Amino acid sequence: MALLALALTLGVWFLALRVPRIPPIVTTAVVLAVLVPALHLQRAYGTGTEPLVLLLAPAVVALALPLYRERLTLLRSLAPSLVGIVAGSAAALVAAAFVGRAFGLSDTVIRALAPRTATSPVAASIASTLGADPHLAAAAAVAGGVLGALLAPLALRLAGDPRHTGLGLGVAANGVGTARAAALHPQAGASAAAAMALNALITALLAPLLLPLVLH
Amino acid sequence: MAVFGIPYPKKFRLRALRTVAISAASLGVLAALALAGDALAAVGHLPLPGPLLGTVLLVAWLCARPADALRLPAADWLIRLMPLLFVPLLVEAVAPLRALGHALPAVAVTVCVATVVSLAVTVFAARLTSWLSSPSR
Repeated sequence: MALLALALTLGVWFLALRVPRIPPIVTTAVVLAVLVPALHLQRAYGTGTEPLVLLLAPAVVALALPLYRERLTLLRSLAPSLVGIVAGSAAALVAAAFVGRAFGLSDTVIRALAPRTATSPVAASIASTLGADPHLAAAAAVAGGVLGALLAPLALRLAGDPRHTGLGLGVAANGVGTARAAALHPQAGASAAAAMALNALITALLAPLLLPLVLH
Repeated sequence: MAVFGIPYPKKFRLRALRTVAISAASLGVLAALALAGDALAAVGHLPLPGPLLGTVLLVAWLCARPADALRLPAADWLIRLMPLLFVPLLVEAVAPLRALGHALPAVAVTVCVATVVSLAVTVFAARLTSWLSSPSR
């Protein structure tokens, strides 16, 4: 059963790669969200797909490579990149807190949503240090990432510069957005990877500082 | 030997084996760095997740030994596969999102607004700074 869950995920993924325009993660997730309950695989799904989740930690480490390769470009546009990333991280935290408050969400839920721009394993661990639900944080991180990935072509058209679009996607839409940026434009991909890594770091540092100010 | 009906000489078989071995070894290196990052975070009581510290460690390592950047083929396919690695998380995200009950629409709006705001603010701040710092202004 567990192996069936893994095979199903991989099979749907490779079919989804052939669907034009829609990011494969969206297609795969929608198809699996229907198929998994229909086949009564919910219990086996977690164990079956554990190998994929285990690969996330080395994948995050692997982001060091684009970061290293683009170090010269990044250093040359260091000031705009850093200002963009810090402003975007802070804006995400504050926006989540304010909008969440306006809609009457509890502080615990907001603490889980605020770090969601960080890549989901990072968001989960930040949320648990803030005393919020790590599962909800990871869920919100991936959901936000998918939204960002869907907005990517529009953002590229509006922003013009692929490097700036990459920064935005790396900050706002974590790994999912970074993968999408890399598929759209190589330069956007590299700056997205850098932005994603730095954003995760900055969010981890800023969240415990900024959130108490907004939430008290 | 033939693969899909195409003759496959022994020379290439050895090369394929070598590629697989190097991929596996470099995956091991990346995993070890993630664990090293975990250990560092635990020992130093740092608020950062282990794998991210592993990323920092690897960048530092590559700056010291640039030639090693070519010895990590696993890194490229891991990054390309990254969206697939998120799929199980997304499928499992359905449960905690459903558990929110009537708070779900508010959470959805919050996530959407925060995503769009941070995307726009990042791009705008980066553009503004590069415009302000450009010598030709």
